[in-house]
Amino acid sequence: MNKAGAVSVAGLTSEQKPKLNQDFAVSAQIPFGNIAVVSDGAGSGVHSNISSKCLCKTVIRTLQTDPKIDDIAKFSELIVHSVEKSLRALSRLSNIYQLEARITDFSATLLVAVQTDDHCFCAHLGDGACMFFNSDDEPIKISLPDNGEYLNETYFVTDTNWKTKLRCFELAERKTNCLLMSDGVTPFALRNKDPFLNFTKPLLNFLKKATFDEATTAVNAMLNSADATKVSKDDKSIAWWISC
Amino acid sequence: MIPDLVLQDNTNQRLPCVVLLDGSTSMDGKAIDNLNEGLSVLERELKADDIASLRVQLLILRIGGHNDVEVLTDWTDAIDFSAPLIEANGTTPLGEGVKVALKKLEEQKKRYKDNQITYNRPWLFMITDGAPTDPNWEKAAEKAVESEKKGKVVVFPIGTEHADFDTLNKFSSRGALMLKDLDFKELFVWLSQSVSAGSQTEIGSETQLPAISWGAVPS
Repeated sequence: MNKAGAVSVAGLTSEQKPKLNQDFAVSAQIPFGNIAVVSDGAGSGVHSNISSKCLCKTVIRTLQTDPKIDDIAKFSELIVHSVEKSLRALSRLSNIYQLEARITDFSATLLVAVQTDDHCFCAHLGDGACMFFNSDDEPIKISLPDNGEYLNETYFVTDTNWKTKLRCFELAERKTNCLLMSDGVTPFALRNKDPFLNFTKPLLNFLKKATFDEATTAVNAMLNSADATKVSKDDKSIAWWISC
Repeated sequence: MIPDLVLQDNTNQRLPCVVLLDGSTSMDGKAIDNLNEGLSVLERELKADDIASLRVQLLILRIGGHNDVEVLTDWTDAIDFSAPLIEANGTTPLGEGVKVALKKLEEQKKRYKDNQITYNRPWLFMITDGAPTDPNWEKAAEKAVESEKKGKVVVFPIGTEHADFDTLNKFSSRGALMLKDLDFKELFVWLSQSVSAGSQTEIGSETQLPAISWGAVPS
């Protein structure tokens, strides 16, 4: 079994109207496994919807063209390279279109999970969460949100010290199911510091059985539901792969 | 539809907010009546707000008496908040009040951390009609500004029209605001709307405060 997908929906304003989605989520299959990427553009960043998209696409392209990841050092190097490449591209874009943007206008978080022929890797900067599960859908490794002290603050690729806040790890297992999510989803997918199993188990179970279209339609509906909006009005994104 | 899926209803987050109120003799009369009416409005407005009523936590302090700082309402969820009655008598130990407020905020933040409760940056509203009467207020003012710089708290000094704004400005890098016509009712509607917005601020966003109808930046 090998399935992957990603869904991102816009949040609501305080007047209950849809706002510009500053999240981006994407997944892709590579010869030996999967890649999933989620980025959440900061609410204060005027162009952060562009940067979240640029980051996700650059990471995916980099990992697709250089899929031979031997170890965590190589993986970390590829992620740093991708982010630096994105920031240069955003800077060029800003100049070309005379956006008069500050670097903080491109603030965004980053979550990357990769499955290779014998390992899984994760890179995480800021909030959101990455969860790896075994074939019984029991969590085996979680990367939790990194907010600093306050809830409405986190770390972004545009921070001067972003490399020190980038958390990378590997998992010596290939057969995993994986969920990546932005901070609009973590409030109802996490209970304290653990995955909320009444959420993750039914979701993974459904994703195993569903076709791609069924999965994206159902996840989209769930993220747009009144219950989800009641918990969080933020943009919401989930990317996943199912391999066991 | 995804069968059997349940969303965790995570209301496990807080915005701690201290309201430091001047209960000195000079507040006697219309000012204290309006202040008490305003506090009732705060209670009503917060309880009517589904999200703020669960996320905002209030601590109400009164300064007055013989340079006393009195905890009128210890930390309480907005949904359980009952407006206290403020009396007007005594002095205005504003410096001591701010010191107590900052200390109580740090204690509450520790409690949140110990219980894995996430929280927004705390807010401190200080409301007076005069100027501090305690001798060490300047140290407290420096501490408030330093705490703001370190990102520990956001301080809102608010004075009525005859307050000493040169002094109040020293308690916050953002400066003091002037309450016109003792319109405490509008002030507390704004305060309620502000903490409601603050309790729902998204990651990476500044809280957008509502427009001020009750006052102005003093000239």
